Amino acid sequence: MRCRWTLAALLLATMALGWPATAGATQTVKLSAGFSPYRLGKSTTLKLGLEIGVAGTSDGLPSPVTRFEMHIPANLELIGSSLGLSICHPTALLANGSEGCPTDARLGFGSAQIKVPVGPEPVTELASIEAEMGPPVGEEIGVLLYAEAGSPVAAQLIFPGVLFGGASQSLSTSVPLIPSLPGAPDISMVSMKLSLGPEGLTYFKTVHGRTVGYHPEGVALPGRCPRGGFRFAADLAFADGTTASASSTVPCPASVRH
Amino acid sequence: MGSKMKGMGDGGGLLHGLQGAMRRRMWLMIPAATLGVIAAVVPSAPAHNGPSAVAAKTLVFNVNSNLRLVGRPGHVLNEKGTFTGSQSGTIAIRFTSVTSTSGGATFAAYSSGGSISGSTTTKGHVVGAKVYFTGVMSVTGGTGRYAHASGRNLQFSGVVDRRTFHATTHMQGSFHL
Repeated sequence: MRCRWTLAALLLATMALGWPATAGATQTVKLSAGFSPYRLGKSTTLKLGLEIGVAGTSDGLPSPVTRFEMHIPANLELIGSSLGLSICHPTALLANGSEGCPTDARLGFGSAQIKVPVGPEPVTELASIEAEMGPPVGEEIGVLLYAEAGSPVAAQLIFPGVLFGGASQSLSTSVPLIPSLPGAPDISMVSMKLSLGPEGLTYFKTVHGRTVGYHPEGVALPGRCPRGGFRFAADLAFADGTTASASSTVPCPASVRH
Repeated sequence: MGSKMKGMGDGGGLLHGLQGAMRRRMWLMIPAATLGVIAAVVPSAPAHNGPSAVAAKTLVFNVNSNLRLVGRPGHVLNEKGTFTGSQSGTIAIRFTSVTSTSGGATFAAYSSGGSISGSTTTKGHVVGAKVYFTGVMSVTGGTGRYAHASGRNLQFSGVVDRRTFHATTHMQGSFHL
C-alpha cells in the first residue's frame, strides 16, 4: 500500500515537473568504430562511440542503460600489446580516482554525455571516463570503467566490465542506475566515446635508474583484413526492460578491400 | 584462431636461422634414474626376440624453455631461446594467439641430431602483465634422427611477460620416433 502511494506520488511529481515521458519508448542505438592509426599489422588505438536516443524524437530522454556488451573482432587481442600491465583495484580507484591506480593499468579513456532530469528540460552533463585493467574475473580480463562527473550531479562511479576472449570477443559492462534528485528519474546516458589504446597514454619505466615515459604498444591489427572488414556490434539493456542493438564495420583499407 | 597454425621448421626466416646454430648443440640424454626429469629412449615393444622385433621407439621428454621476442610484438609473437631438462637445445615458438577460449602456437626444437616441430592449441588468461597459457601439443614431424617423430596430447604450458615479451614454457610428454 505504502509502496503504491510512493509510486503514485513519484508519477505525479514527474508529471508536474514536466520530464519527458519515455516509459515504453523504443530506444535507438548508433555505434561507431574506428582505428587510429589504421595500418594492418601495426599497433592501433580502438575508437568506439555510442549514441543513444528515443525513436521518433530528436531530444527524448532514453531509459537509463543498465548493461552494454561491445562485440569486438576476435583477431584484436591483448596478448601482443603492452596495455594494462598492472592491475587497478576498485577500492583504490573509488578512494583516489584514477590517481589511485598504477599509470600502466590504464587502457584508455573517453567521455559520456548524460542527461539529468531537472526541470522541464533535462540538463546535459559531461562525464569523463577512464578504462583501467581490473582484477581478473575468473579466467577473463577484468576492465574497470571509472566515470566522474561534476555538476549538476557530482558522482564517481565504477562500471565493472569483463573482456571475454575467443571467437566472440566482447567487453561486457554493467552500469548501475545513477540517481539524480530525490524522487526524480535516474540519469540517462545519451552518448559515450571510448578510446582504448596507446593514443594519449603515457606509461613509465625505470631505465638505468631513471624514470622514463613511453607509449605502450596497442592492440595489433592483423596483417590481413578480414573479409568484409572489422565488424563491431553493441547490445544494450535499459532500465525499462527493453534492449537495443547496433553494429558498425570498419572497412578494409582501400588497397586490400575484398 | 587455432586454424592459423602453420608448420615450422620449413625453412622460414626465423627458424632457418636457428637451425644452423642448433646443429652445434647436442641433446643431452640424462638417465632418468638419477634425475627427477625423465629422459629415455625406450622400446615400446616387449623386450624379447620374436616377430615384433621391429620396435617403434618412444622419446620421453620434460623440458623448460626460456625465450625472447624476435622483432616487435604484435598479432603474432615470434620467440626464440633455449630449452633444458631431459634434453637441451634451442627452440623457436610462434604464438598466433592466446585467449581464454582458444589460441595456438607452433614450435621447432633443434639439436645436432635433428629437429622436431609441432603445434599446440592453448587456452590462456591475462593477469596484468602476465599471460598464462596451457594446452596440448602435437609433434608433427622432424628432421635427422627425428624425421619420423610423431605424437599427440603432450602437455604445454607457460607464461608470456608483456613488459618484456620474454616467455617461459614447459613441455612434457612422449612421442614416437
